[in-house]
Amino acid sequence: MRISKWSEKLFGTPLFEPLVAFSFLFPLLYLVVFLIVPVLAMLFIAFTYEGNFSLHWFKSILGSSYYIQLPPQGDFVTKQVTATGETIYLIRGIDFGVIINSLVVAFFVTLLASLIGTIFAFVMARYDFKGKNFFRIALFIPLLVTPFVNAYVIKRMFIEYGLVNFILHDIFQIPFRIKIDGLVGVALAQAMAYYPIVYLNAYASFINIDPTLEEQAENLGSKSFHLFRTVTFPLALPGIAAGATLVFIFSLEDLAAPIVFHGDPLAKKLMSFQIFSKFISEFGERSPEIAALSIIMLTLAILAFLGIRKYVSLRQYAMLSKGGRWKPRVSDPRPWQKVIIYVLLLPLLLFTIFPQIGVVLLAFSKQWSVTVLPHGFTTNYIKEMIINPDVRRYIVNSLVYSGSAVILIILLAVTSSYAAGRFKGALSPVLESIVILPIAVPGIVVAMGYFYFFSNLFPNTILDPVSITFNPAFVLILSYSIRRLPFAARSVYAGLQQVHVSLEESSLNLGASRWKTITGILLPLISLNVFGGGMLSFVYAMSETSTSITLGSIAIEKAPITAFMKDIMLSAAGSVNIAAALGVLLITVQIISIVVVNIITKQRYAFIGLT
Amino acid sequence: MKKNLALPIIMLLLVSVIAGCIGGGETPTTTTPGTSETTASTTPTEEIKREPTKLVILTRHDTTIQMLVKQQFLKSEIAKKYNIVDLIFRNAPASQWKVFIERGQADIGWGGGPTLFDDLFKQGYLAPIDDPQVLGLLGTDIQESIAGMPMVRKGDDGKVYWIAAALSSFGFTINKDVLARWNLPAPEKWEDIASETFAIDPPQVGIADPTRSTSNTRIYQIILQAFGWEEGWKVLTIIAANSKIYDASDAVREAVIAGDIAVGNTIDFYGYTAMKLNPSCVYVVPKGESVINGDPIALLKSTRNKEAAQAFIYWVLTEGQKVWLDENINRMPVNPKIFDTPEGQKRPDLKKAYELTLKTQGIQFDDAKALATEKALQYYFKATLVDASQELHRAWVALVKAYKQGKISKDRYEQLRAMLLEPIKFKDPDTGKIVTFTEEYAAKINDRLVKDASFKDQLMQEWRDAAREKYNRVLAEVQG
Repeated sequence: MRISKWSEKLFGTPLFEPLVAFSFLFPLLYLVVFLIVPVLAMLFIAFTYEGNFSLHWFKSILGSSYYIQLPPQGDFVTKQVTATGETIYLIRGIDFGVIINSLVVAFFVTLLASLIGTIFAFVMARYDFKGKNFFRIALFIPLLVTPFVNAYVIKRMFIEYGLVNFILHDIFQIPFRIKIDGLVGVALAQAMAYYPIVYLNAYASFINIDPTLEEQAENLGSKSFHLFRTVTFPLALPGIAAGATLVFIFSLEDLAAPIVFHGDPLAKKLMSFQIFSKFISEFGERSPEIAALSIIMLTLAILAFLGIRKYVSLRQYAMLSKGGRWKPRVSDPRPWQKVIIYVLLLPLLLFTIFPQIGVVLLAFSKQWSVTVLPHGFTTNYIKEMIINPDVRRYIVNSLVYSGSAVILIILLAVTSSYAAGRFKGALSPVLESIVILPIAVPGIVVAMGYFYFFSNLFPNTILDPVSITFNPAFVLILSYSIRRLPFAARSVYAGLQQVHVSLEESSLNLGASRWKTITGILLPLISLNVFGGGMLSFVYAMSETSTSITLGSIAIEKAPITAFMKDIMLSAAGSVNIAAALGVLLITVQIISIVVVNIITKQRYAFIGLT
Repeated sequence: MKKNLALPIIMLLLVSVIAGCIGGGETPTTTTPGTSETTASTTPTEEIKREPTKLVILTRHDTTIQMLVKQQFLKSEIAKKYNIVDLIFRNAPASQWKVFIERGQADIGWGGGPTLFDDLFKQGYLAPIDDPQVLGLLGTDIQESIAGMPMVRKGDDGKVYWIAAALSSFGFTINKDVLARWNLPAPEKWEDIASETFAIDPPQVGIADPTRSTSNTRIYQIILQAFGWEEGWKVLTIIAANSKIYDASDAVREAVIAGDIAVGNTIDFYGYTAMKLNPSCVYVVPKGESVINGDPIALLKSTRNKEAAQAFIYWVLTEGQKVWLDENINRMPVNPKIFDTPEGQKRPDLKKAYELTLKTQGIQFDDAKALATEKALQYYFKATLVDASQELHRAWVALVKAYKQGKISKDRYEQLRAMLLEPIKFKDPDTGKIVTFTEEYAAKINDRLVKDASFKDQLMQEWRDAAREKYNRVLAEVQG
């Protein structure tokens, strides 16, 4: 056996071991080839002007008031009076131009989600009150993803004659109606869907705070809000910030809400929608302007991601299942706190779970045209989803694509975690970062990158999106396996951290091979983490939208469920209900996954920090 | 070391699993190659054992239509006779069709409006239809023209290149409840939605982005021809100023049904569907300004199975017409014989609408003229009216409001209105000269916009910026 210098340098093993090298190189090369290269491919288009390298497109975007409009234009609220004498306040937001609009929306969504999420987390972590279990369950509901349909329900809640006005105007007799549309509508829909992400992370932080720290502060005379502001909150901040970053990036890349609200011109002035719209209408064209806009969007998302990473290491909150060793500081709320819980938080909670309730109602109702709620009971749409072979096919497609992606994800997650967690080579930190990088790459950017990449490198094959033979299966499996990798990777990594390395060392010392050690010792010990992470990746792969509705919808008979949902939401009549039925199916899959993961892994908070 | 073998084996297994999953998607271009050029003049005696065939159909029809056609066609006698085992639909944007045809990957083009098909015909992408059975329908079951519009496209060689498979007319779908809520009159003509009456917030008119909707493109072409190019753009500008602009024509219909807007530009069948879903919705044919279109089906140059492809066309024009009668589709058949079938007799409403369509008075519409500037129209509209819609709407509503409230005089109003509607001036990227978007200029750049993405992006940026600047200037003037 020869000692290899470069092996030690790169992989941290003095002897070259194929298995270790594979664990490093497989995930690394996979992500380079299928994430970084396709995204870089766009750079070539974006930096080309009249055949030469040029910053022209970036300059023209950054110099155009369409993209950056300062000072902003428009009125945040306008007042209208209808012919029937009713006053309507139309709330749409103001126009800062496409790029800043995206940032402003993401900022306010993050702020709102953090505020609501943190309040709920604090109350749940520190107080015992009647109905707490209802709160606990209900707080998971907004996390159930039903692409498009829940944004549709939210939009319907805020129209002139929707649920909100029914409550405010018809029940509470407020003398006007409000209608929310445009950027405010998009922001609201996103905040309602994403705040539980902050909640889960913040909750984990609160229950993990060492109670002795707070007790010391109390002994020194600090109490109530001062205690919270100076001790509790700062200690929980890394968790909150980590959740907030995810919300920021999710908001930036979200397509469902802008698509649903797109009737309002302001809702279209968001980066994600601009790229999507151009991609769909001029499919097959290499628009340098849109490539440049994609690069700008990517840069912003990565900056947000790095900014927060500097502040808090993302892996920190992947290990939270260790928490709860000490006696938690839980108390009964005081009367005024009870008032807040039942009068403010409970209605807020009910309000934020309404979109999911609405999806279920819609799936079982005949019609929802002009009424406050959908009406007429029918099971036809659920039946059609199951019986109609055409609809069923999309479900099967999604299951196959997501299932295949998960196999790849598990392989990637295990190899990368093993390499990065057990060996200190030069590649370890690189691998560690690159595995969670997909979180920061907006889905629409992946879609654009894949489009250029595969149509250039594999023209006229099943991989070429502009070929009639194009089969989205392969491209989607790749995209899912990369976009949803971070969920499983972080779960597996966390598991690995909890297994002491000495167990493996003993095995190796007793003569077992590396392979035997991994398969016989390590994998059984982390199998629950692998399972939990894989499940989570599967659930989110099923509900992936960005690449599914662009690349996936090209060959409609091989489209995944989300592409079909978008397609029928916008086409034939009555189909919103079928989309809702598919939403119910997705909800069911997600609930089953959560329950199974929780039962098998016995982790009460299996989802914490992994969203 | 032997154990390390396990790894490649696992990898191999993985790959095979994935390949297996993908394997379901065998290549769809398995139209039997080398089928002789003989046409489908099938005498009953010749019972040839045909190879199983799959037809690839490029279409702009939505999923509902695709599903239903596939279901019904594969059950039909014709499918069995020609051993057609599958239909593969590709709903691709118009620009993509040519790529598929050039690559020899598609058999039939269906749906998307005559503009698209005439464009393909002009550029030689269509093959003549020569099946005697299909040709036998023309002039008997299917009229060669309805209300002055061609239902069949014949080339200079006298051959037939496309045949209409459905009829459509263009008009408004209105929601009476919403009109009443905002005290708006029901529009009867295109000019009606291009008026100050509809200058309100939130906008109550819905139209669709022409780069996303061939039907709305046709509506704008009708307006440009009815009013003339210059005046037509002014009308379009005011319509856009009064409107919410949706990304798809389906979204316009949904918005009218849901009461989000009071009036939407739609094709007749969208209107009829809306009437079924919400009784307060009514489809209105614009008086004297309607255009009827035949929505074509055609044989593509790239077909590798002419016989089967023409058999499918024959099915669409005869038995397949009943697809249009489905409750969720509601389109107008081109072959009225379908109304005599049991399915047809269940739809007296559509029959009535069909007869009404035959009688509608349309404008004289020049296909060739519309085609010459089609792409330029779409992109110019997109840049100056869709992308700038926020600014345009604000300026227009502020202007009308100021006038109605007596803040500005009539003269001043007219002056600012003219300013808002005047054509924008921009720099021609080629010559560097300052030009306006005349019909000649539009025709000149039309083809280049399709081929040169960089040129198009550049020009659209200039249009958009110039338009927004103009609208903002008017707003500034109004606000003093």
